Amino acid sequence: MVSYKKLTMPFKLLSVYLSYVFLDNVVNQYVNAVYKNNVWVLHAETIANYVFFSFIYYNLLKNKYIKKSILVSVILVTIFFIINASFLQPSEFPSNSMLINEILFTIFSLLLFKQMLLYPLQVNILKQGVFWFNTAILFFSTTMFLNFALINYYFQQNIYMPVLNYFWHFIDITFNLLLGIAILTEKKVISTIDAER
Amino acid sequence: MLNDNTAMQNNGIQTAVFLTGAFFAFLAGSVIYFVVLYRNRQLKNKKEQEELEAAFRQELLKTQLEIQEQTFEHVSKEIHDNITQVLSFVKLSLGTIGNTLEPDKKAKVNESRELIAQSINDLRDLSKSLSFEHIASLGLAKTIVTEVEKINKSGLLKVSFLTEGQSYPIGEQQELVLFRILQEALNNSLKHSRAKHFKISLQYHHDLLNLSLEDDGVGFVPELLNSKSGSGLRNMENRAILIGGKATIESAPGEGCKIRITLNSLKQLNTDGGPHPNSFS
Repeated sequence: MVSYKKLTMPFKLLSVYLSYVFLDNVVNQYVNAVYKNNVWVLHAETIANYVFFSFIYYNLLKNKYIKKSILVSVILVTIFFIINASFLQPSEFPSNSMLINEILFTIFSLLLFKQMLLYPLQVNILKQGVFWFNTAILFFSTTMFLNFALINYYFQQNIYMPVLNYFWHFIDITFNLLLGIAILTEKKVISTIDAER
Repeated sequence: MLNDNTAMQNNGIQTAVFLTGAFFAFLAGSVIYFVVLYRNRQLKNKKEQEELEAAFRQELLKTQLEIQEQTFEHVSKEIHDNITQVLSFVKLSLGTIGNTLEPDKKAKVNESRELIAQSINDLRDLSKSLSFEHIASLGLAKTIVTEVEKINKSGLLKVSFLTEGQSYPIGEQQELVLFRILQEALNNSLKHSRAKHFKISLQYHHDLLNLSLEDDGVGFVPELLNSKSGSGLRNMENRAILIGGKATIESAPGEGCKIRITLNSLKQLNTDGGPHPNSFS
């Protein structure tokens, strides 16, 4: 919590997001155990994910048109997610919302990589929290397409593949690990800048 | 039926492993490519920044030199047009008064007149060494000769000057800068080195001009060049760069100091700008 104050706004949001993920997992397990169906929690999670990461990218990206687009997209996408949760996939896994999430996150991460290339900092890239955060998002978003594709394929072929569950967990753990590295490296960069001052 | 299902599962696993492997290889490759690209950009930016800083330093030095030359010119004119004129008038007046005095007093007045005459000569020499116009009209070699004579006359340092090759003009600005470097080196030797001898060598080659300055003073540690107190020496290097030359400074404690300035004279002849006396641009 002491380090939290030293973090920049996007990474403060990311720290809050990681705390939220922990709570979400607890709630998810509880709801699943009690009601045997956690679909509505997943719908809420998808909306929360989009809002969190959109605001993080809003703070990281510099182009004012992209920033405006992100703000508009938060409103539009949230409305769509609510419609999806209420009418299109009310009792199903929110694949529509998740696909939109992953497509937009992939675009945001590519835009941020482009921005990083245009305005490089004189700091080792592996010590930049932004790099690790963006890599985490790109990794998670793109891997999700593969994951969905594999699930669909095996579902259509009526093949039960328990390994896909492990694959899902692997993606999730790697993603959270990369986000953790992002926060730690960001803290170190800030400390270095403080020391130089 | 069971065997078919197992075979399908095995095929499925193989496909999944292949796809996943290919996907992760592509993703990892993309991230590594980005890191390499980013590193290249960082290096390029750093280089550009260094070039900008170097250009800024050069501009700053040019401005400093222009201001310095203008100040020198002003002081030179003041000495020549004002102080020496006043002293000449005093000398004349003393001569007039001396004619009306008794012989012993007249001798003292004459002594004073001689001292004033000497001061006038010294001031004229000083005025000449400060004046760009004088240096430009005399040329580098002759200006150095005048400077050497002045120092030798003072008895503070024994200066020798040697020229090699057929002299040719290298441009007024270049000659002025080289002369100012020489003055700075002489000044350093007089003030800090406790040197007894100072050698100046000017070598005119076909496409190269070398100016070597060497003293037999106490010398200094090479690290001094990078320290704050070595700013005068760094200034020499920067001045040399400003005219497209290169200065190398060698010294060690107890072994004096050797400064060598090399200038591509053909290049300088081609790039020599306008005749404005106080412009380095």
